[in-house]
Amino acid sequence: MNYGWKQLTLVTLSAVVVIVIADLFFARIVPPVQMREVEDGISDFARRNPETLVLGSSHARTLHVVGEELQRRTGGEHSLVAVPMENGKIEPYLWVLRNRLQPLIDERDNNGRLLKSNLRRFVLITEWWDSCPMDNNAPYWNIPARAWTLTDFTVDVAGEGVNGFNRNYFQNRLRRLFSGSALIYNRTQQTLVERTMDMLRGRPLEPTDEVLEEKSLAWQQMIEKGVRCINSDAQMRALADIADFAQSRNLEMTLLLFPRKPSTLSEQAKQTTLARFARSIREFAAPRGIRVVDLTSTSPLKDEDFMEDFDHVNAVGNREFAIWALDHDLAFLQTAPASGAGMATAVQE
Amino acid sequence: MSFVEVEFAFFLPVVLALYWVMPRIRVLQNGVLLLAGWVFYASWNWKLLALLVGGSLIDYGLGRFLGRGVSADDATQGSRRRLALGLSLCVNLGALAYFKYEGFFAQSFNDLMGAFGLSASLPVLQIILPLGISFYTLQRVGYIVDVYYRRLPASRSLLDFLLFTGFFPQLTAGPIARGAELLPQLEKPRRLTAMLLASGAATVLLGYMLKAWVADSIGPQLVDPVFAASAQYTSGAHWLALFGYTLQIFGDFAGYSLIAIGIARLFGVELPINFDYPFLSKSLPEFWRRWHITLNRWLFDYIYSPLVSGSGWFRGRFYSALMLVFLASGLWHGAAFTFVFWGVMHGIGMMVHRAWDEYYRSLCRKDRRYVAWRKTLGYSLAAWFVTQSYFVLSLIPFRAADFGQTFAFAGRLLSSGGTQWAQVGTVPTLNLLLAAGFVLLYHLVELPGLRRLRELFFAVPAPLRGAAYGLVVIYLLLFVPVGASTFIYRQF
Amino acid sequence: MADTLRQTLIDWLDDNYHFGDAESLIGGDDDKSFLQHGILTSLGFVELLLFIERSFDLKIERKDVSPANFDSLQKIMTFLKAAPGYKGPQ
Repeated sequence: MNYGWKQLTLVTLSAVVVIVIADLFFARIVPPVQMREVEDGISDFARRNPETLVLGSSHARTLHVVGEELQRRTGGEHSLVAVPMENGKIEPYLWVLRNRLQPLIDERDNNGRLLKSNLRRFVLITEWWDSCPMDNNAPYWNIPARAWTLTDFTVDVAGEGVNGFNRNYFQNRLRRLFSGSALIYNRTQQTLVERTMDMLRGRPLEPTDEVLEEKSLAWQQMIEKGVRCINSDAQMRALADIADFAQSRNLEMTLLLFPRKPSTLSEQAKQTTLARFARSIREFAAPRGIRVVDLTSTSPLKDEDFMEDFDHVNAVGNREFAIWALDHDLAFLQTAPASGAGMATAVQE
Repeated sequence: MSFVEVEFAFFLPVVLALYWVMPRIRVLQNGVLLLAGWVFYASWNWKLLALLVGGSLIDYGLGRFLGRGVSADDATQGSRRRLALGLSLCVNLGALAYFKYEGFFAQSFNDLMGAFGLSASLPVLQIILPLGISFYTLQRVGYIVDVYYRRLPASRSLLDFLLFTGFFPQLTAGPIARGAELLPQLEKPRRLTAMLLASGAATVLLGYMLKAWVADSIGPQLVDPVFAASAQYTSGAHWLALFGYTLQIFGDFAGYSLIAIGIARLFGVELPINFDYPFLSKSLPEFWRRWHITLNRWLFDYIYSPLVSGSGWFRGRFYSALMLVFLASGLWHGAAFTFVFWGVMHGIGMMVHRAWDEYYRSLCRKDRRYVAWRKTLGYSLAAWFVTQSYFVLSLIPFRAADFGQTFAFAGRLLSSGGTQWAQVGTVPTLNLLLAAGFVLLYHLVELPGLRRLRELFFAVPAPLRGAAYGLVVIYLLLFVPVGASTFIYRQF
Repeated sequence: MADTLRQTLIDWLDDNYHFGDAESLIGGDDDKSFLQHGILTSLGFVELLLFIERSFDLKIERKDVSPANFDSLQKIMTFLKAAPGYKGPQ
């Protein structure tokens, strides 16, 4: 067979064209949604000098919208940067704080002045799930996947070799590299095929009431069962370390328990898992002078303000929440922190 | 790192680009490949890279010694050469025995002593199995034996030899190459052509389909659940799991081999084929000439042939030699009695085939009609059916965790109290059917009458062919399971 | 034993594998590869080797056991006739 460069180019080009067309087609069915990740939060924080630093679970993405609303209302006088860590858990938050944020927080210019001179507040977004250990004591794969730098990866590989844990770093790099591609970016969500089938069958994309109810029930049961695992020692220790860090940098700290989709909360869950978690958080916060804002079941967010995953707030919900929160429980973000708070006055060790 | 893991998608393009922008000089090209191989290996475990390199250095030195010309004092030289051969075999097989079989033999010995009421406590060490040791050991032993018998000149260049024993496409799971196949290719610079890239990439794609799509879709959905909780499943589900496993292990290993061959070709190096449409085989010997070819020809070249045609007890004892070869094959596949059992099954299978063949040959000598019968479709179909069924059944001990599971599974093929059936949704079912159909088609287009179909595809205008490849890639992106499971043969 | 080496080999192929078809399989081309054309498999080669050693009272060195010397009628004949101590038919 005589196979020249021209042939090879033609074959490759037409393959690429077909793939790109398919990708555009699938992007119309399930658009790849750009999620805000640790990396985005870090680079925002590195660039800016905000008054408030928000760290926490994927729910912290909603706080990014709050930040935009805050910017609009105060004309930049009060500002916040949100760093969302997918898959939660308090120990990984501590990892991000110590390894990624602390160097930026403590960074000084040539004259020895802190670069983050405006930083006065620290908000941790959390919920009951973050205080449980990983299922089956799995390692925190979200650390390599979402929070590692290339250096972290290299150091780990040098010690352990490439393995299932540190491979998460690469997998997520690859996904982000192709974040505009529906075929690659949405691969893990396994919805492309289902949605396409739905479309071909002419069935509406909306799930039926039955499916919704089933899903709500599953969530309710999961939260009820959570009572067995909440307030685990390791996570609560990590929370104490986070609080100590905020205190050492003289930051006014707030613990925000994020709203849940109303239909996922049974009465039993509210009285057991959620009540117990909220109580332990209050008991933890009170002696340390940490503000607690518990919005688990008291925000105005309705079922339809949440995404299909029953967990995260959708775009409309985020807007509503931002406006409401700045009028109510998060109104303090528009005021100056208590006098004395702030990095500039912190006692440096 | 394995070829189907994500980091390889970063590793390969970098190495490939570096390799081809180098000036076309052997030392530079081999240097890049050797370095890439070591990085590849070290990314798994850099400490055990020392074992790979150290063993290669020893074999390089011994090879140089064995390859020296015949001297006047032939008797002394002969005994020294035997010593060198023995030393290499001890080092290579010793390392293999230590890392792969220490636990198995120590445990078996302790159990055996226990059975006699004696208490023995040979330490059962939990040793990590060095990646690819089963493959690179055989390749190096083959080289040393070839040089010893003067069938192959010893490699003069250390760089070439280290590359021969650490060429990353074949490092972890073969194909096991002969010195005569691979060394001459490494001794001269390679030239980049469009044909190399095209054929290499197409081979990688085909291998990826078999490995990541066929094997990794079928295994977790049809096979693993039934082997994990056999009692709950019906007889039908057992048969489905067994056939599924047959397709899975073929897709897994033939696919991985094709990826290795395709990647090597991208670098201008041709590796031996490892699978030659085994499911078309009509006898067990033919099956082993088509399945994991490079292992079986190694066993044949370095165990069977020297034994049967040598001057020892085994001379002319075909049956015993066959059994020995398949016992070795069983043990090579894994340090467990289920693999030994699998080896015995195939040893017996080969012996029965040989007895039948000798009997049938005696019939043929008497009456030419038997020769004609053997060529009929009926005889072929029957022979095909018996051969393939035997292989499929032998996969039960191969897959099962222990003898208990082996016999329980085999029994439930006939009758099972379980009520469960494989639970797969509509779309996955279609996908599994397509995957199985793909393996079938892959074999069918090799049949004499249907080969034309393959030629037709390559006669199609380039843009259409490209579009077809594009559609395959899209399908794979949609259906290859995320985080496709590990490669089965890498554990051997 | 036939009077020529070639016929001896053809007879052996017929007696063991092809039962009268050996000549037509080779089809007048004595350089035809046994392995590539399915005339002899690797298992069959060992038997051929034993047959040759037995019939011609010859010891074939291990270094010579390779397709280079045995993969076609012509190769076998060339190799054997040149082998020291070969006294079989020509």
